[in-house]
Amino acid sequence: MNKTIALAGNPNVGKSTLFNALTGSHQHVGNWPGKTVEKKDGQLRIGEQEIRVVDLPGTYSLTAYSIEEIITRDFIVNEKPTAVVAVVNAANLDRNLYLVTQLIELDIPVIVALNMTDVARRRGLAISLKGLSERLGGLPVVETVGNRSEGLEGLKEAIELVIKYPHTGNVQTSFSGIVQEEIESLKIKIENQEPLRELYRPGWLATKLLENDQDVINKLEILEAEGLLESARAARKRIETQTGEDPEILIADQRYQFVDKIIDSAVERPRVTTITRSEMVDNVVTHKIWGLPIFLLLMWFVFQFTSNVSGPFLDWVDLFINEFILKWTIRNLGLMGLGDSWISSLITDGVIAGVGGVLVFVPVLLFLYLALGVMEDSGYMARAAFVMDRVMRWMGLHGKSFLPMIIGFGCTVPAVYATRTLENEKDRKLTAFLATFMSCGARLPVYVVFGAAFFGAASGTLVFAMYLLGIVVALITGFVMKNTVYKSQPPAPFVMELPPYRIPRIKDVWHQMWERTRGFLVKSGTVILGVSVALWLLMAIPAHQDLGPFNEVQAGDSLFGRISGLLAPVFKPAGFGSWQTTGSLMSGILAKEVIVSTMSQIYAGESLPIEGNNTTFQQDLVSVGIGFGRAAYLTIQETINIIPRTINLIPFVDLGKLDLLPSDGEELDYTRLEGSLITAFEKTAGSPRAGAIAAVAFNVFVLLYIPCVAAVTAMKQEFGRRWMWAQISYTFIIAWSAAVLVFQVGKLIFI
Amino acid sequence: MTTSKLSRLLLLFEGSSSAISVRELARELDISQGQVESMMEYWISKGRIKISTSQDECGNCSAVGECPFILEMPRTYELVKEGAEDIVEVIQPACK
Repeated sequence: MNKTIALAGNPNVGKSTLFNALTGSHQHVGNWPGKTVEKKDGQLRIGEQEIRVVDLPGTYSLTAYSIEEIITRDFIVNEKPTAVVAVVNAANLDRNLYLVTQLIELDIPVIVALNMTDVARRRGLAISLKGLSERLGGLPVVETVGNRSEGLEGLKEAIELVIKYPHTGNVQTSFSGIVQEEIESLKIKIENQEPLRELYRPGWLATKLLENDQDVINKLEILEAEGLLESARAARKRIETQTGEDPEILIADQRYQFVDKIIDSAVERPRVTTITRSEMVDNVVTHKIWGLPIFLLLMWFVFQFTSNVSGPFLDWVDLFINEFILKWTIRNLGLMGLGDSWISSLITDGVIAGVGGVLVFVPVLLFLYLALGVMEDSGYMARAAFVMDRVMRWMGLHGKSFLPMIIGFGCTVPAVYATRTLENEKDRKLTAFLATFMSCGARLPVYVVFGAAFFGAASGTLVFAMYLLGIVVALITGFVMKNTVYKSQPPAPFVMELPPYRIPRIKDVWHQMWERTRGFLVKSGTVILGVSVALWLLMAIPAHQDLGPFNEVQAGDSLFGRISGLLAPVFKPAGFGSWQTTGSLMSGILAKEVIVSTMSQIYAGESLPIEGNNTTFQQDLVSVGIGFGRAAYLTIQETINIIPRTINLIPFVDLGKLDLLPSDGEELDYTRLEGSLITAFEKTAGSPRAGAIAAVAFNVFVLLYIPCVAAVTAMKQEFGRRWMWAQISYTFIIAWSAAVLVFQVGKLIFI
Repeated sequence: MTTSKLSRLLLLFEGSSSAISVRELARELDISQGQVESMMEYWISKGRIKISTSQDECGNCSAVGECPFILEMPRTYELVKEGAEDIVEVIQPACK
């Protein structure tokens, strides 16, 4: 007689690995008849005996709610395998034994394969195999580690033994009280009905009838077992009247209680005080009052870290591009006889100034993504979403709305799509709308360049203030809209699995850091390069033929300069009404990185040419290498100093800082672009102090104004043209108003 | 009269005014976190709760499947509103 062993278990417990280890290459993969669920069939040889092994779909229970559950239980009930190997995750027995209780109810021989015992041991769990077996009515329990093929021999022995001496376990499984009484009563009725007795295990059928299992009821209706169905209906009614509970819930609950008892007697958990380390940290960082300030402090620290620690490499890349590359490109173009040609201008003022102007900020992004990667990989970011739920809820938004907003810190486009996780269409639209106020990575170079130019060591505070302002504006907008045009029910709560904290893995953090920065580099070589060339062209074409020939016209008299100049008065009340800033903002609609590249192109043309020196290429190359070493050294110094430097920003606090290298007046060591911006903003606003206020107003405008073309397109695709235009109009108005407010109020206070 | 922990779990969830962690629920019901997750599975199969992962769809974005900005957030459970059409679908949890 052919013997069949079925492997059953929860998803992701290593069932398939165990199946592969048992059957080796003797397996056949197909689909379950009429279903798209994969069926794996294999052969196991024990001694002289060939045994068929079937890998059943992963499932949590044997109810009839999912296709996997139906396949699993139909196979066991109809095909009556010789035995079932219940594969359970030893590290998560509480969750896995629920299925085992239902397999036992089927009254078939069951072998429990306690898989992943290595993980359980690492977690300090001591599982008594004897105790577990006793609790399960004497069922064989075997330890296995499927991915290392450990315990296979023991499992094969258990299978051999069960085949020889089938044993169904002598256990009063889960039920008690009225549930057990009604099961017994129905069981007797089933045992007295000839076809049913042969087709089903009476105890299991009685339980299913009390659970009101529609799949089973349909089958009994076909068999015209109306009397039994009527008895079951009456039994359910009696249980409900006596307990006040739906019998199905009561039965499931009693199974859970049974599992609880097994765990209590067979599993010894590590001796811990009532609270684990993760819980201790969570009690503080997810605290109702402290949670939010801690989140804000951490974010402040992240931006201080990003701005200061990336500084040395930012300066190095700036020197490398704007001196080494630029100098040798100019020199080589001169040698080729193209020195004063439009080709030279295109390469130096267009490509190098535009693309190079953005590439300078790669170190900043690397360090930002490093800090955010550490927060994500340590498990803190999940807590941030948890903490922000209270804030979001207070504003009338669903807590999950914060997730697209966090994604928005990286890029607005995926943030818009991330709103698909929200059910309510209104919530989706509103969240996508608000996510555009989250400051994406592309806007960071703008804050960094202005922060370094106008605020020196406190530049991280400007960056943090911009990110915070984005959140605040989003929340206020959400609050207003939720209480006016988008009035709806209070948002539903959610339950979150907070994973334990862990030391961030270098490989994972590096992967995130690199992949996110790579996107920026790809954009630099495509979108920004294209825009830089187009802008160069627009700046080379005179607005009128009398203003000069092509490529010799003053930038302000170029087509780009004149068009920008027409719109510049709009920004005068905000303190940055020059054609240069207006032009940068216009091109920034294509991609936010372009703001800096445009400024770099504009101011490269206006700043003094690089002073010629007679150093050789080799000498310059050595200087670049030395500069890199110095940048690395200073980065270490900045990393060591980041905590005292951040704390020193608090008034009247001075912790001092470590200087490994002489500072060389590093605070005043501006890049070419920073120097040009200071001069330009001071000139437009009227004084150095007004220039700094105008710079803040400009940053506020960049933060809040129209999202980039890609984000606007995503909005249109998701929510339609009207919504897109509503967003464009709203963001422009709110950005302009906020920038004017900052400049005018700032002037009143500080000047 | 509701006495079962299974029902109390759902009532606690429905009655909550803000997000709750699995740990808080386990503490409240005096059971392990593994059991809370197992009970959640029960309510998922009944169509009363659903699992939500960080992001399931990315629309027409060209970077779909490769986007580095997608966050791997832990699983969250949400109540299914009565009358919702997708309540019969059982969502398999993420492998992570």
